[in-house]
Amino acid sequence: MALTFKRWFAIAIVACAVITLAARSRTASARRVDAVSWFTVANQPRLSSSRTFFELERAIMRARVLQRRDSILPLLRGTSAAPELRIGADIPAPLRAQLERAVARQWALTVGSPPGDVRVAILAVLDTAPLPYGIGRGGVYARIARHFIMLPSSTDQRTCLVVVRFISLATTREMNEWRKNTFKRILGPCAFYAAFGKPGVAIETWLRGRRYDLTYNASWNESSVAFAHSADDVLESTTFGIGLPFDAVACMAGDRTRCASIVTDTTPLNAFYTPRTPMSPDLITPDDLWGAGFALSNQWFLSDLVHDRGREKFARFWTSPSPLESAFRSEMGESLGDWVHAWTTARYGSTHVGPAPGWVSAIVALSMAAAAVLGMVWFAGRRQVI
Amino acid sequence: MSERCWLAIGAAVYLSMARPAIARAQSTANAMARAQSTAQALANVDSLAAVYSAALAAEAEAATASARKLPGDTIRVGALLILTDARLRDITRRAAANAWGVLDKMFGSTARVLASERFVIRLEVPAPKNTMIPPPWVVAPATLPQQIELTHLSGGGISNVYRTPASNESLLADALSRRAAELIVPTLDTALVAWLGDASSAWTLAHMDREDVYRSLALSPSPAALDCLGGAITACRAVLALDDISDVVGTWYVSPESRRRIVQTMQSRIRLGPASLRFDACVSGRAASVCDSILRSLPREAIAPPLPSSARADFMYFAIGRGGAESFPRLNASSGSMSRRFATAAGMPTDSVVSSWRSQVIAAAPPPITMPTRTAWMALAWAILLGVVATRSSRWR
Amino acid sequence: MFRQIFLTQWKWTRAPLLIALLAAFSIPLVSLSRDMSYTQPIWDARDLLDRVRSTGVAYSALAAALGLVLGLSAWAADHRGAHVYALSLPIARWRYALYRLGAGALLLFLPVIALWLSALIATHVIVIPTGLHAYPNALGLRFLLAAIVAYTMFFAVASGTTRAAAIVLGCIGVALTTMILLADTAIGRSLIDWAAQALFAWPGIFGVFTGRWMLIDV
Repeated sequence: MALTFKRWFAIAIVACAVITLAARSRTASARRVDAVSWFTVANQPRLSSSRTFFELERAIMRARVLQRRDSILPLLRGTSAAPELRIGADIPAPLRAQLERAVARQWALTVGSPPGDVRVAILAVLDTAPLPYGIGRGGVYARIARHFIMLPSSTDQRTCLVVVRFISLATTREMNEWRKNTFKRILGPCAFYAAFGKPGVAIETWLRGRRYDLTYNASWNESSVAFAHSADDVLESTTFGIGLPFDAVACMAGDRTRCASIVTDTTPLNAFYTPRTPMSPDLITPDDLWGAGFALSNQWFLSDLVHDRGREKFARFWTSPSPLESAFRSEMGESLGDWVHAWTTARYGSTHVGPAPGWVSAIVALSMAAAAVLGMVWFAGRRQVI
Repeated sequence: MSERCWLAIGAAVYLSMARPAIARAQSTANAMARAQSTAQALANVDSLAAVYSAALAAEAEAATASARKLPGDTIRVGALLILTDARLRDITRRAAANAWGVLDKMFGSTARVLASERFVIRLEVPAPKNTMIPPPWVVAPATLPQQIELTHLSGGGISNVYRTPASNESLLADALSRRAAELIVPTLDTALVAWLGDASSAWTLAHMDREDVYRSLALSPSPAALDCLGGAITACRAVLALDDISDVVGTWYVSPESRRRIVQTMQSRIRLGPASLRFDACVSGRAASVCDSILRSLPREAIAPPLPSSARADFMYFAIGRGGAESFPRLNASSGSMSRRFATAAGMPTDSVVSSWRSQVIAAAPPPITMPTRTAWMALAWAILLGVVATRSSRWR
Repeated sequence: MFRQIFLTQWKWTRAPLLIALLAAFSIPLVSLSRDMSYTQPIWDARDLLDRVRSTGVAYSALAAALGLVLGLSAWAADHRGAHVYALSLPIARWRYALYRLGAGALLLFLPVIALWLSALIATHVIVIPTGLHAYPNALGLRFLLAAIVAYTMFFAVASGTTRAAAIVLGCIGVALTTMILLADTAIGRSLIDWAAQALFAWPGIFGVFTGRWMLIDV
């Protein structure tokens, strides 16, 4: 049976229809399987004990930190001129000295002479008390050290309080890692409050919505180090760059309309890592941030802004009563999106998205094809058959 | 003076007198708000605890009483205490004996810390999802006879579970010794752990493959490793990091080519973002100064050592073997440079230990590749066969 | 004249063309066949992108295969008949070659259109997660570009004598074999790196075949 055009066409149409139907039916069965896959477990109405355990641990931790706050606030005598350290008597001298050096160093490098309306206090305690309700120290509570930050709105309106809590003082690898990661940024948002005072209402609302993640690394004496991956490396990674929001990728690809939302978006960036019950709007736990944010570079965002634009300009922006974007534009002279674009591409480089080939690639390919055709035509004209 | 002026003065006087009272009132309000938030947090703890208890009780009830029972047989080998059931008694005993042999030889009396731990070895059972019921979790062991499960009871926390094919004694022994080493390593001296690395596999290599150590020395990018093979004991000490080295780059990677190679091996960590240009200039462009600047910019711990930790583990194992009984506890308890500590552990000068180790490594060099006679005959037979076929072929068309 | 040439080429290639058309129609639909519902946008979206990316190589492979088949089959009958038919025609030889090229290029559009339609259907059926966009048109254009490049290259190679075509294809084969044999040596690795950079990395000669063939992307 010859494959006439009509038959060819009929076969093509029928086969395409079959392929479409097959793809759709596969979709339907896959959806039923997905309904019980792991990422929907968190939405089950009945809470499992492990999930509740996690929440309970966090609630206990939060209550204990708040109790520490209530007990220490009446005892503080310091002013905003220097940070006040209250270190528990059971903290050994070497660790105490390291802590003091870390605070003094960050203070000197960033805050310098503060404007005077926010004071900073650091409380370091050893917490070995057993947990209530007979629960063991598992998951998050088992970390050897954590630090919490309470902003003035959750203390006495003029104190930014850093609580450092150790559950053990053993010199283990975990402790060394924690010290290495935390000491250089121990003051976190408190450094911003001490150096620039309380932020304007709109700025504070914005920061609070993001759990102050853009202020975790206050080190504007230097620009942030180059980040872990270039944009193309991130996009080619097997998990499509966990931590990079799509807006960030689009921004690096040149879509400036999506740049500002990288820093203004207040929805949880990664639902998997975000606890169901946040600790408290103003009780910040920088140690919890791993896994969220745009590949962790968000921690340096405001610090880099201070480094780039200088303290005076930033101070005006920080305390501006205007809405975020207009405050940024009026003080920095450009839109927030433009600055985010420049900042992001400086760190990750640029990339492009979508399947369209680059202009150069397309021109090279077409030139090559044209050259092949010309060569073929020239060869055909000279052809001789013997 | 007008009435308005009097009013203004009156108001100012009132405010100046009342300011401390206002501040006090504000402070009291703040304190009350704080106390309220703390009280709310405590109430939240109580309500969550009630939910947690209810969830735990429901899940515990869901698991059958018989399923939660621990295996009845107890096996004690050295400091290892293992709960198992009757069907696995023999394999568990043999695996435990092997594992304890490795642990005792490696750690000596330090392994006694395991006496306070309990291990459970049983046929694998599926764990209920999302539960905090303490392991081991059990549902009808007979339904899954293919795998053996090894767990460790640790006060209710989540415990790692190893699974090995049933009846594979050596894998079970390996899993047991690794798990035990994971429990011992945190109790060891941190400097020693940092020298070797905290991967439990490095601590429990039952059969050190010295041929691999030879290969890592011979193929190391570091010229010092080749010097070590050539007989320079100082170079061996350097590549094993036995002494405190102030300039690791200058000591380990003295030649420009070795620096280029070590930068190349660190590609995944260095060739990132803007730094990739410098990486390419060093590796592809062979710019020695760029390689140097890359290496100098890295912290000391980021410079890849010339030998893998398995080679250091081999050396440690060798030194402990020389020192006789209790040499590991001596190594662990000693202080100072690693060189001095190994001398203490082995009971002889470090150079002697290093020299003997080097001789052993060289003795384990892989034999040169030779062609077996059978292969030679086979090649000849094929050649003859193909030749015959070729002569029988028809003419080319 | 062109019509006659077009019809003869259609007859020679309709069977492989049908297979290519069905393959082109399948790829976009199959790549998205599991992605209909999204309850947790971020995590699922990343999963979706990974899957879309993993099927990207199929597009470039199909474009290359399509170009190869159409390019070689355009000249197969002429080679068999020692070009007597072509030389007997009352038109210039170069014009005849261009007619052949044009006829093949027209046929090339059938699978390209199939792929574009399939991409449109697939992206219309699924719910695209927030923050992502569908690029069916750009994908179709890119596929067209890649297929045309592959087609013209193979057409030009095949337009010479069989011996010339065999030499060119043989050289490619020898180069690939040499690379595979040398893959484990330092020279081989650097050679492969160099060749891959020159040919496939931006803006390499074959850059149009590599990179991100993303039907759905940010």
